Amino acid sequence: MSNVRDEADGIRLSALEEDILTLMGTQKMYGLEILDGLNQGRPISIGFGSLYPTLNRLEKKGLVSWQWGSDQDETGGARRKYYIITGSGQTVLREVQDYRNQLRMRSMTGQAGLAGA
Amino acid sequence: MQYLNTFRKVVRIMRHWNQKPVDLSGVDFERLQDEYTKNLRVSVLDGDGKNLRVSVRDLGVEQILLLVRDGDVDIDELDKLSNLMKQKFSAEIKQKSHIKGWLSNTLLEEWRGELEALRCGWLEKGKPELWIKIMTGFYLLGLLKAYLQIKVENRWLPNKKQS
Repeated sequence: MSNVRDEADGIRLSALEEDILTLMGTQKMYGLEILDGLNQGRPISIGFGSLYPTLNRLEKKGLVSWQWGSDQDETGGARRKYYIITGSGQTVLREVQDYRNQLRMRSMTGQAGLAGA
Repeated sequence: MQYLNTFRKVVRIMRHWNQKPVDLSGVDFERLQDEYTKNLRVSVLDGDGKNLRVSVRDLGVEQILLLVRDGDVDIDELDKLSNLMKQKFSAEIKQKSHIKGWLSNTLLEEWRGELEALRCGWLEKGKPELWIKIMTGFYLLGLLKAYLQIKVENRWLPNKKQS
């Protein structure tokens, strides 16, 4: 766990990276599935051109890993690549979400501005 | 096409009269080949009480309606037939959604898989082929953009990629 903690230190997430990690949770998902999930109700929808570079960055940061799917049908279609969140990914996501919750709590209790000013 | 329309009418009327659900959702009759329509056969009783197998295409709508009303048509056969047609149609769509030619050799397998899944969805929705080709090209441009961006970014991103 401490190794995971060390790896997760100092990793920053962009808004899209956070969205992808939140969507994936603990399940395996392929590109089109992630794209559909993200674009439901999103004000500005994203395409493959934004999704894949973001997945690549997450992979380089060690926050997601992938494996080939075994769902190739009898018609001989191409295999799909399934992405899954790693231990570091879950730790980083939890930290970011905790921070967002703290911000929300502060705004609800009226301590959002300069305390004591 | 005339036979397909006849079949469709018959199934609709049978559904109404027999109150037996015949699930035809997902079947795009316009796309079915003639080889399927010639197999549309029903069992009917002739004047002597003998069981005959008759092709739907040989019967007029009025004749079929009379047979249905008298209970001489075996609805299970139409049910089975519609399931068979759906299976064949589904396999046909998967085959059709595959990316062939130079593009299949050029594209990464994962991206080919994604494009094929997209095309399969469009074919099931009955989108026109030209529209599918244009949209495939549009998504290909997105993938090309992703490819170039990944190549550039990988020049300075630290390498933690799994082996």
